[in-house]
Amino acid sequence: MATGESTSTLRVRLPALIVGIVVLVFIGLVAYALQRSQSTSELGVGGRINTVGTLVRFTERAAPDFVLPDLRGGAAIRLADYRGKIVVLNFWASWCPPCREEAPILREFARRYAESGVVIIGIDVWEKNWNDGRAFLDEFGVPYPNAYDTEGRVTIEYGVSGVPETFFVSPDGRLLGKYTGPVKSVEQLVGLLNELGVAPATQ
Amino acid sequence: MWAHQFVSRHSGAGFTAFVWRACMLLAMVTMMIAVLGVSAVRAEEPLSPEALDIANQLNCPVCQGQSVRDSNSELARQMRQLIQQKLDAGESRDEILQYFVERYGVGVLREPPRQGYLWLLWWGPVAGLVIGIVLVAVYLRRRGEPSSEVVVPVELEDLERVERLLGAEGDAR
Amino acid sequence: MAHLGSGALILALILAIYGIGASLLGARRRIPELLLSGYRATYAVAFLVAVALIALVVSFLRHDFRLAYVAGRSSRDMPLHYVIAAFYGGQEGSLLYWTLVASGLGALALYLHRRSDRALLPYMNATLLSVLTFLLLVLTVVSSPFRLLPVTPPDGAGLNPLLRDPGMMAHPPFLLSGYASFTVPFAFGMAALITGRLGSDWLRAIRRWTLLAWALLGLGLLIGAWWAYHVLGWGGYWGWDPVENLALLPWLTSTAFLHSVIVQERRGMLKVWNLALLLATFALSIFGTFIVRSGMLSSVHAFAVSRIGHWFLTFLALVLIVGIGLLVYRLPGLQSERQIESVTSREAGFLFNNLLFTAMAFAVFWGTTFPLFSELFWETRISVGPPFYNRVVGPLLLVLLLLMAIGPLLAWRRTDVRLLLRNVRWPATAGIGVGLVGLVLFSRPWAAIAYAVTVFAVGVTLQEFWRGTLARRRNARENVLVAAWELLRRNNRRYGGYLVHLAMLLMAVGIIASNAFQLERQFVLRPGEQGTIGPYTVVYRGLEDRRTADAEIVAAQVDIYRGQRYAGTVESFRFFYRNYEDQPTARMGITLVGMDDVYVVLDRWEDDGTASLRVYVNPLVIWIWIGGVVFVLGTVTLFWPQPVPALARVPQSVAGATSEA
Repeated sequence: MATGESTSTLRVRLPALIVGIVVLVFIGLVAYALQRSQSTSELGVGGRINTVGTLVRFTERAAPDFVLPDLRGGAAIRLADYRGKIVVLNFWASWCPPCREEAPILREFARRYAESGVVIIGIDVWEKNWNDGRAFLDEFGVPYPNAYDTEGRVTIEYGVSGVPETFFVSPDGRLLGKYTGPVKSVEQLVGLLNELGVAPATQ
Repeated sequence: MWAHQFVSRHSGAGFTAFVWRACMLLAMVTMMIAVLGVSAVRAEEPLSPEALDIANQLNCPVCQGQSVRDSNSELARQMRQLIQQKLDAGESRDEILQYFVERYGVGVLREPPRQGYLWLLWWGPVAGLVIGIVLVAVYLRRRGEPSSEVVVPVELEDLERVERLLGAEGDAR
Repeated sequence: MAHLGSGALILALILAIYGIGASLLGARRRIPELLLSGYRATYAVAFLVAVALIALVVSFLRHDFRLAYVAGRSSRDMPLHYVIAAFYGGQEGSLLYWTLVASGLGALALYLHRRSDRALLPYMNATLLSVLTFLLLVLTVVSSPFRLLPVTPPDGAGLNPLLRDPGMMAHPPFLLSGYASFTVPFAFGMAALITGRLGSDWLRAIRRWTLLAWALLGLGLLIGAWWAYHVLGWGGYWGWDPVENLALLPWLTSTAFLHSVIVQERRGMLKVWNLALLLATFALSIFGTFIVRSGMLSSVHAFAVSRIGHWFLTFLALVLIVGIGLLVYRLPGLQSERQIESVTSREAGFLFNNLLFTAMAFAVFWGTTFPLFSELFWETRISVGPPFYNRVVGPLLLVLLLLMAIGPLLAWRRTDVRLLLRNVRWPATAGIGVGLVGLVLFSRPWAAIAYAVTVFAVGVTLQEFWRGTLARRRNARENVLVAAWELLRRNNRRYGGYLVHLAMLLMAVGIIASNAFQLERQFVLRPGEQGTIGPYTVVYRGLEDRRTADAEIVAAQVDIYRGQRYAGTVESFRFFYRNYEDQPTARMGITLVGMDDVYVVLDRWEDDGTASLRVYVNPLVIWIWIGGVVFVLGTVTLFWPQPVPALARVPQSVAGATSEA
């Protein structure tokens, strides 16, 4: 039908080729996304359970202050009272398996770095029964202060979307970053603090 | 007797824990569907229609694919209460939505905002449709000269007969 | 049983690979014996996969908890029907089922077409076996349902509670077999491309297979909607959840295909487009299966993430490269035999239909995959929910309804516009009338417009039925009922199609109403207290605790009154299954009062019996399910075998005359 056979077939084929290339580029992108996507959560009793860790940094964000009741029944816990120290704020729940894995590590960290200007504050969230949370503290012999957030205001204020989630607060009250998922070792936790530029004094 | 005192399955030792683990590994439909919190049965204060509406515009952050209105998770319940409180305190719908966006990111909105790169999302389908229309238009313009045969309006019964024959031919299997 | 099952799968894999070689070599060298051997390999594969599936079901029935898959999805206290249904309750089992449907239908297609489409069959067989090879590879290497546990637990974990519902007994099998059945038309399409026999034989071969897959998928979607409506408790039936969207995509493209294929049959046009749609449909089926298991999209159907994502993606890439490559290679041979003559022709109508379906599919695809790219490029997690889809797809649906009204009245090649106008005058009058009344009465103008269009389309469709029946009555001197019946039977492709149109329109009636006029209220009530919603009063009677072998059930009993008149009592349930106490499921209390569904959700409750109830009034939703029934009738009509005598009675001259059209 056309004079130049080869040019005409190319012209016929060109649009389909373009479509083909677009489709394959799409597949490539999906492959890339798949490579990068890590499944980070499962679901548990009260919400999402983070199983794989990622660190998110914050800049120029003040850590929202809070006053919450002590899970063990002591005096209310207030974030501002810890000004001058690095605060590791750990949101957890007793029904969350990674939180259980993490508890001994946090305890060990608290023990080793007791005198180094770092404090851990635990915040128990999304429990059906707060006694479960207290039992958790006893089971793991958690030494650091633990609060509980009955109405979830602090949890929402911090934007917690799963447990465990750990926030880092600088001595001057800035929110440095958050780590979703369980901390795997004391060294890792120290490493995270280093990454955020607030190294605890070594023992 | 409404208190469902179930043993938490994670505390079960031995085989229960084992099966649980196996199940985790294999589970394909670890659906979470929101109805979480068995005996977290605190009935909440009734919400105003406006609060329900705002809750329906937010994704429950701990669930997947459910709105704060529809989810039964603890967090969603707490968020609903907070929305109601904020409304009662006189905050506007936009302020409340903004509050959650600041804390949970734009992903918390069920309807992505029309801003920045998200315009791509909104205009993508329109662009697709326009490209489609252009292609169809080009195809139609390339149409040949109308054939010189006279098109006689076909009587329905003829048409039906012809179609029947054609249909029979086409489907002979 | 486990060894039998895994052995059968391995053997099937080997045979499938052999069959590909035999078919290709046999076709190349023209060795009929080798070809036959290749076909037999497919039959054997289908048989072996069936054996494997039966072995799996038997393992379930015998509570063989050595199998990780059985232990993970069933338990001794589950009722028998759920124990059986549990085999597709997980990834491995549903893949096995997928494979069975693909191989079974493939084998059936080989058998049925063994005489008529000889030239295509070797390549069809090779394509089919390639797909099966991939699936069997996944089933034997990465995701075997017959993997054994190191220790046998005394009891299994039980089936995911959400699957323990009658709707879930039917939804996955239909959906999965819909996905899987697209393998057959895909295989024929590829065969046509490979052989270069791009005439109409392959089209004839695949039309029914595509129809079958399309009907199964459509039915699967419908049952899924029904299930969601009764179980998920947000008062709706379609949540534009990514997994739903991904299942909708191949349905949209195959609907487009089923329409545009008519143009190719009649007029020899749109050949490239049809093959592209076929390829897209199959690719989207694979894509849907893949992406829900990759964990990349968050969805209510949060499937556990698995490693098979990469396998599926690689396969998808292969399918697309080979498919598009062949299409590009064969493009010059796929030129239209005729050209379109007029914008007001049936061909053009189908073209617009395809434009709309494709645009809709694209919009859904765009919205569903966009979060992926948002996270990739902008590191921002976003979610695209119902508001986006309603806004984007809604208008397209409306135009589609309009086209559904006009399309059937368009003539091939060119339409006499005056005749067209005369044909639409009564339906159009009815539509406009309804629209005007609606504009006055309804608070939402879009609903009035949507109803106007729907009524218009229903009018045209019924008018077509009526005129066809009258014509038959006149010509064949049958009474009206016989004439209507014969019309459907003899002209099943056309009138079966109209029945499906009617089904869609009936659904539209329900969809529009439930979107525009749904009422919702939340109540916190103590037993004996009441609340009102619209014209209804709900009286909360109290909670009841029940127990079955595998679950504890909480039931809230609510009396419904319309005005002062008692309209029924509903029970809204919460189920707590053993081992899944933290994932309670529900069944809504729904009762039909007049045309309204009164829909009660039990949200929360306290020890003293105080309950949070959410109550919806969903008007006209019942028409969606009625439409579903009509949809089934329509597809059955489409499948009805053509009466053979009609062909015998064809006078030679007429046959000659029509062959041109």
